[in-house]
Amino acid sequence: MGIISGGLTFKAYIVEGYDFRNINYEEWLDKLNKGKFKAINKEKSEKESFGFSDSKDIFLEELEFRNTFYDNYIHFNFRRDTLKMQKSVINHYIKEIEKTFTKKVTKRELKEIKARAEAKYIRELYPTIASYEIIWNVETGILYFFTQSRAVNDKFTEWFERNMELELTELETATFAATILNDEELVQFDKKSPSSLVSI
Amino acid sequence: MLENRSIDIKNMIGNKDFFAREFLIWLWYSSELDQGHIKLKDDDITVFIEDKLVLEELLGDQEDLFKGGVPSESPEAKYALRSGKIIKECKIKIIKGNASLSEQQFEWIFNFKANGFNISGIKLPSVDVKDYKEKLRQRMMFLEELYDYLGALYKKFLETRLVKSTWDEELLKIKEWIGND
Repeated sequence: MGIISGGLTFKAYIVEGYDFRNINYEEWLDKLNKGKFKAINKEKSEKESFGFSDSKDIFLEELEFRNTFYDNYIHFNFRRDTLKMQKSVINHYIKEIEKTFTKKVTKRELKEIKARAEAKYIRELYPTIASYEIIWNVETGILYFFTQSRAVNDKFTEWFERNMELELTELETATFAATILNDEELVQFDKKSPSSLVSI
Repeated sequence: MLENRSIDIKNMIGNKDFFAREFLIWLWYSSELDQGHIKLKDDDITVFIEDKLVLEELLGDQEDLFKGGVPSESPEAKYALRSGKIIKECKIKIIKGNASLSEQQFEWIFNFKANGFNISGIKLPSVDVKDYKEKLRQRMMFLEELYDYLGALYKKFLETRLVKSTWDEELLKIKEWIGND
């Protein structure tokens, strides 16, 4: 579920490396579009592709300004397409090939057969499409990415940092404390050990 | 927020979850002092541990899951705490507005995992607006308000926690509360 309906589940990040009072929104739209989603290239044997897409229509060619920027918010999607090969299809193909062998198939041969099977079937497959909403309050510097999948979060943060040239830091126990404590309090925070409530 | 600080915050990431565990016990304790009412700097809110509470052993894999009803009020849950278990996860309800003063009430319910100060499954107060952008604005406003309350609660806890004398005093009270029932 995304921001507009239902329960909300996300990872929150602190975005740094910009001055809120000095944002060039056209330039940021260009950066988002530089990192826009591009379809899987089956000719290159790609099995996955991801990138940014429009907040309202993930199939739009480019992110549109009016769908991306509202007040202090930047709203877009992270689309990820994957080609998933069903194990039963691959296993059937492997068995058929194995029948043509007179002796036991070696591990190396099995690997080659698998690769051939994938190359054969990958052209026939349609991708599985997933999209995850992002809403970023540029004034507070907090960005919400609507999935808690570690793998997808890692792909998104790496892609975002590379394209936007900004830094993302996950909001967690220590970083959340850093948003509410002054430097002196933060030094104390760092010095403390677990109390007897949560330690033996 | 993290830039230009006199201390390297990045080194602390992932190493301070004991604060979140202590915070949850403190929150449970604080919510029972005055029927859930907690005074914050800018607001008064009501906090309840809702119908899910998971306690785990400090060492070992055993977990106690309390579901349905008001698990925080069950003697078994308190017993688990008394036997040295800590809160791994719980569902929390925050209410703003006092019904007895005829104030409009707003309610947030969410799951809180101590590991990583992780909140999920957040139910926001209902928004009765059809316009897409307006709905998005209002839901974001409610989401950010929840973070304001969490920040204010965490700060209230840390203000006590980071000063030895106040924490020693609070710790005694919490242990006394755990020992009761």
